[in-house]
Amino acid sequence: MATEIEKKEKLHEIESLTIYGLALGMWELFSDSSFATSRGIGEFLLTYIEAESGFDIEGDDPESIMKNIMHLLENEVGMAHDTKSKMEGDHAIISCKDCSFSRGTNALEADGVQPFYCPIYNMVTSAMRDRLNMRSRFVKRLWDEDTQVCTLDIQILD
Amino acid sequence: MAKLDELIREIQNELGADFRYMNIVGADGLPIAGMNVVNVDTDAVAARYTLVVKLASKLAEKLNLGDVDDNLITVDNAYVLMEMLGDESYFVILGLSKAAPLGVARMLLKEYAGPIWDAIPR
Repeated sequence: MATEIEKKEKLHEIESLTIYGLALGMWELFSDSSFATSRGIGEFLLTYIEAESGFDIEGDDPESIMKNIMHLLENEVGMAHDTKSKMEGDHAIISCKDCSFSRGTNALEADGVQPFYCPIYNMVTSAMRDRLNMRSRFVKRLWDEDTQVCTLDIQILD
Repeated sequence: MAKLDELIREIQNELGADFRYMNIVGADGLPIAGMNVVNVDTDAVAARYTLVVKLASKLAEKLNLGDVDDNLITVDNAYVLMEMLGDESYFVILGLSKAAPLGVARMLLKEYAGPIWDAIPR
């Protein structure tokens, strides 16, 4: 019989595989239209993380919004390390090291699935939409295998 | 986007009081232009209908039915007409009152499909 630690690891793996399967299935059905679900996913995540942390994600500009979200995800959730965010023209650039989603995202990317499910992408774009009335779209994701850093490029449209 | 807004206004003028909202939407569910005269979250409408449009395209492809031209959803008090544009990377959502002449609306969308496609920035 498995130990409690082994059970937790296996449970975590099953949860991860379920998300993997759902993302793959969605993409096979809807391809890039899967991004239409981003706003809804982002809203759920924002509501949860604000309630759990007791911290409202606010800001007058995209940089402030991104900084607040990345701070919460790094320090309250432990999702990633060494997170950075900045604006380059009308592009929001977010980078994270050792993100807990990176293994699954890399596997899905190998199957042609773009990261419409990424919690960071969804929270940032949803917060931009709701707090700043700014729409945005996914441009690309870069993965550095050597540094284990994932970089998202998001174009702000408004 | 000014040209797109102008084309949408022309369609609104043609349909008059039957026009409720219209969006030009990309395959990712993001509207790039639009107008609404009723209180509706057109971004949410665009995102949800994108999935419907994608399903219709998938269905047509899998069953070898040909290319999807348009898609009509009829509810209690409204019509929602969707028309594909160009290479199907964009489409139009047109919200209409239940009294709207569907034939006229379809004809208008087909007439304006080319100019709208040409006006989309790429």
